[in-house]
Amino acid sequence: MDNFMRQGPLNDLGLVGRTSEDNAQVTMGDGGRPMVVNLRLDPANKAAMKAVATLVGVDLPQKANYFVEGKETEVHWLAPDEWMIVSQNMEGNELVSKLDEALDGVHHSAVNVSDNFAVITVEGEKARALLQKAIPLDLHPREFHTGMSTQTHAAKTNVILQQVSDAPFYKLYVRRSFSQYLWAWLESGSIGFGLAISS
Amino acid sequence: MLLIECPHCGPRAETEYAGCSEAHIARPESGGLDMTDAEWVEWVFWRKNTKGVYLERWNHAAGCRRWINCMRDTVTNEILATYKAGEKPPKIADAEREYKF
Repeated sequence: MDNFMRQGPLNDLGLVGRTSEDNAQVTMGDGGRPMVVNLRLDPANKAAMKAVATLVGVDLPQKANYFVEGKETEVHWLAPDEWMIVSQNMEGNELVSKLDEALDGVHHSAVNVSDNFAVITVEGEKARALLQKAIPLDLHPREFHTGMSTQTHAAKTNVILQQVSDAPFYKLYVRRSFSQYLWAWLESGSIGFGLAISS
Repeated sequence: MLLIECPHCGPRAETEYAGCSEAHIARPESGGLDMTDAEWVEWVFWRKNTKGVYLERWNHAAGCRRWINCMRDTVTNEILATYKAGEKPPKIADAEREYKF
């Protein structure tokens, strides 16, 4: 299905028509509908790891809590034998069939989970202060910085938290059905910081 | 809030975990076909209720979602060690604490 045909769960919030507050220190936005594949594979199988790296254009990260960026792909470490592949140029199903082909005969699992996620972007000088209200991890740059991505919980819902840049710019991959809850939670948490809505 | 070390992800908040009973309970080698009902009950349901150092299985539910093992003192709620599933429990310095009743 064409990407523009897919409705995101945050569309209902009418973010497009929202006005931003003056002197906003936090900017939140709808991060769109990513194309995501969940991959499980034994990292000890070097040949299979190489085959996936060739396909997605970047080595699968083996360092805990980090993601790596390729030309058109991002690969997030989720667990020692589990990765999240975010593709900019391939539909989930297409990537899954290519992975299955590349890993023919290897014990693995590749699942298209694109429709599982909504993405909330949070940026600005108070972005960290806002997220720190919801997330139990230490988000100080000494502990969590650009290039890191990890699974944790924000308020009561599970998220994959990614720091994209030093601005700081964060992306929260949240389960679709929890995304409006998390948006509302973060929006009320941003009172006092001033909130801008990115288009 | 306790800060518990996940052997895969590093130190994480207690709220990311789910604690799930005794660790290192081996599956019956026979597959259970020759076991009596009493032996089944013993294996499936009966757990130690240790006062002191206890070995538990925990799940890092809001993190990597892997099962890990945790050595915890049930009296003080102190987490003495965490280690990967399938590994043997580490030796602890203070063996005196392994009191039983």
